[in-house]
Amino acid sequence: MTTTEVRPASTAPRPVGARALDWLTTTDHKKIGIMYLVNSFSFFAIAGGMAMLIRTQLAKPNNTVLSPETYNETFTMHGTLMIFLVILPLLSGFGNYFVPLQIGALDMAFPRVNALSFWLLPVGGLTILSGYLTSGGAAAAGWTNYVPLALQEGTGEDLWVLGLLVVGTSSLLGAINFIVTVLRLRAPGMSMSRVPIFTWATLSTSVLVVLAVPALTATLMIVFADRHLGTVFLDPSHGGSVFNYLNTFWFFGHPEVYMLIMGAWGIVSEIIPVFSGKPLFGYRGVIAALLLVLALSFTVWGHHMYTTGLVDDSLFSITTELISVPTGVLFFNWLFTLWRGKIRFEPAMVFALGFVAMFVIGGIDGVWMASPAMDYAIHDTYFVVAHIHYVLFGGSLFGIMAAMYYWFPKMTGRYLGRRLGHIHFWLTFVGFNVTFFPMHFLGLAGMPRRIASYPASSGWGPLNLVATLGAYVIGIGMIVGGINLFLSLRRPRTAPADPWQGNTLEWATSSPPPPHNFDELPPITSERPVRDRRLAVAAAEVTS
Amino acid sequence: MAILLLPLVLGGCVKEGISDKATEVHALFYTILWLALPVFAFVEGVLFYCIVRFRKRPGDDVPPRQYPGNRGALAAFFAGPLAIVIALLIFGESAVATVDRNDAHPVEQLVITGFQWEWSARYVAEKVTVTGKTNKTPLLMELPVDVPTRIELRATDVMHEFYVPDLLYMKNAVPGHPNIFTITPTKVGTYHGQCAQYCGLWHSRMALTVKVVPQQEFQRWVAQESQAHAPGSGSCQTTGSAFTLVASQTSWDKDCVGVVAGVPFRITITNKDRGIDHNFAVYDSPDLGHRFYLSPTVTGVATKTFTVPALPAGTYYFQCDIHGPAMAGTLVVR
Repeated sequence: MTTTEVRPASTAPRPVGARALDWLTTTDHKKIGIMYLVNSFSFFAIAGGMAMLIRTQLAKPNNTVLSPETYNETFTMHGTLMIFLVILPLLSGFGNYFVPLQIGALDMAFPRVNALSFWLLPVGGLTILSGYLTSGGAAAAGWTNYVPLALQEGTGEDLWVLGLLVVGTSSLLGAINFIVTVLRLRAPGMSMSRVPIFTWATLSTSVLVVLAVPALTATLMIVFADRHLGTVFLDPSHGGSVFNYLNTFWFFGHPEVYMLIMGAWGIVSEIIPVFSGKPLFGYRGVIAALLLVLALSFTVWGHHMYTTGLVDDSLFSITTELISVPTGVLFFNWLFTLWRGKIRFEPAMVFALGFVAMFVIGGIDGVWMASPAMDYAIHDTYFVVAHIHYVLFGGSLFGIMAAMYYWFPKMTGRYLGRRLGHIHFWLTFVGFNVTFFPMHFLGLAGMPRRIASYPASSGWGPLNLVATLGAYVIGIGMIVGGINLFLSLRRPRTAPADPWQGNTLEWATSSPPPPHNFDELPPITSERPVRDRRLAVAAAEVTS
Repeated sequence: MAILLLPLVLGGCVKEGISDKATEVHALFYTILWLALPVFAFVEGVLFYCIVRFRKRPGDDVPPRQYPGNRGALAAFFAGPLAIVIALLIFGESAVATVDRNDAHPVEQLVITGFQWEWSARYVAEKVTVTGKTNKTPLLMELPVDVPTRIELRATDVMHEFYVPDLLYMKNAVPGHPNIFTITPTKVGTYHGQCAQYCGLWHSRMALTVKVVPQQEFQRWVAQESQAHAPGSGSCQTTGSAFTLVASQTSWDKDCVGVVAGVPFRITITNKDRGIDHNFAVYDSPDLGHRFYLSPTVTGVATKTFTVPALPAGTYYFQCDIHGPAMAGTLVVR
């Protein structure tokens, strides 16, 4: 009596070495996408830990947990990592995994380039961090790296410049790949007016990257040349000017902010319709808004320089206020999608709703800073720290967390825990507001940003303590999120192809998808092909 | 709901302002607040309402009506924010025009210089310079109340930012690009100020104090400072042809040194300020009319010795060129 176990060779456990080699040499966009996420969440843990250090130092007046040198390095690295190695690559990671799936493609247009653009990221990130190993310490000129200060810095600064050049190259290669993929590899029937909003957002982001990142590269080269090749682009005593830096840096720097948020807009514009049971209100309006923001984002950089005395403040305040119009349109689209829907409060949806609630604050407090006369009173204070965190944390990161809960079943075949997901959300949401809302008051009370300590006589102590306690709550929330991830990866694969009753093509294939992505594609006749097929199948069952 | 009330609390926290222009900015804060509040209340209110009202009930599996939106609504979505933006621009542009308009006939004139990591202020007509010393004493500068004052901002090393919260104003001090603005302080009092542009190691300690005082009191203070900073009497001992200057906390250990005329002399600089650059420059007077000598930079911590060419007998002014009057003294050559 023998039992024969029928087991296809492909699912038999393979030696760890072979599997590792698979990941190291893969050109599969799904594996690369997952590597993007793992890499970026690792940097997120580092940069988040740095945030905890910063808040610990600022918890009370005249604190000495961090020396001024260490404090300056810490906030420089926190900003640099969060912006260049966490938020943008996380969005690129989701883009890598889901853009080809959403348009019904087999892979990205240039799979090997895709692998290269991933592998450049850890190389660039570790180069930046390796500044800690030099005698002068890591770069400490802030993520904006203002000159001439940056010219005074030690070897850590050179590693920062070189690391960012590598990271910028990675973004550029990735962006070109996305653009070609979306323009050339769409499945039959997938016209541009049926492309999912997340893919549209990734396309817009990629156009921003291609147009703006070269300005960053040039800026970094100028800094490097002035430091080591004897050029004087930035040296006023030899006819150079600080404004050569400021203009090129912010010509990149402001579109950069939109690179960090557009992907999150796309994510939220996918999730809200699915969990409301309705189509996105004004699909074409959302696309129009995205494209308007894309165009206007290149006209607003001067608002970072209102107080420098070298830009036309009135002109830049006009363009800056105008860009809030298409951004405002998006809120209407999201709210009217919810209106008369039937809302399911899965963790993905809760994070997406948290995004709407928080990002609007980041949009509104930005209006004070967009008005030059008001900006003179709050520029370079904690008001701007509050603003940027409402945009990049309340906005981008809430969107990223929503995406994680939404797409995790597709990527792994497993659900992230629902209960822990809600706890993760509420701790993060409450902690976030307790941390960052008081910073508006600190800014209005005159607390400048980037100061390593403050005297007790300033009166800033109590609100700083509140902010620090809030930050610890965020920290606990993120640990809960991490535990949720860890536990979920140990659960059996129970997620079906379409766990949320989705709209877009990634839900038309198994969870996780096969290496070739799709065994078959549903017909694409609208921007919601998976829903169309679900309804057709249901109708067929009723009639049969 | 608590979050809906927060912006109201926020409104109470903007400073009243102590100058003609600050009052304008204070008012602008409220104008923006009243334009922004309805937007905030609308978005959070509708969101909250949807969350409560449109939750999916258990067992209700009838899909909601599939309404994809319409052009009219989209046009309204664009028009609404545009109207608010235009209102914001009208108020904002008018305020910035006022704040940026420089008084054509300022009475008092100051040159304020930022350096790593302190400020100095020169009262141009009075020929008086006051200065702060890093980690020791912040700059104390007085301004006469109700007197239009022109301020020229300079930076010697990196970018700084002159920021006095009660003025509701900040402006960058940029190397190679002086910035000029005028203010008329209207309220007597003592106000805290601080560098707002991150400028390196001791950025957080780059503070200043602005005292707005009645005009007679200002005159008294200027006279007193003028006495205190009068050129040295030239009474210090001649040390022959060599001397040592020790720089610590952005101060020299001596404010007067003497050497023999007609022969070159050696100066030894001991810089105890970690990471900070100092040098040694000799001028005819504090007005920096003619420079006789400038040493190479000494980055702390280090000790270096330089030879200065022979000088004719006389009284000279010396300073660290990077820190200016904060590190200055008299060089007597006889």
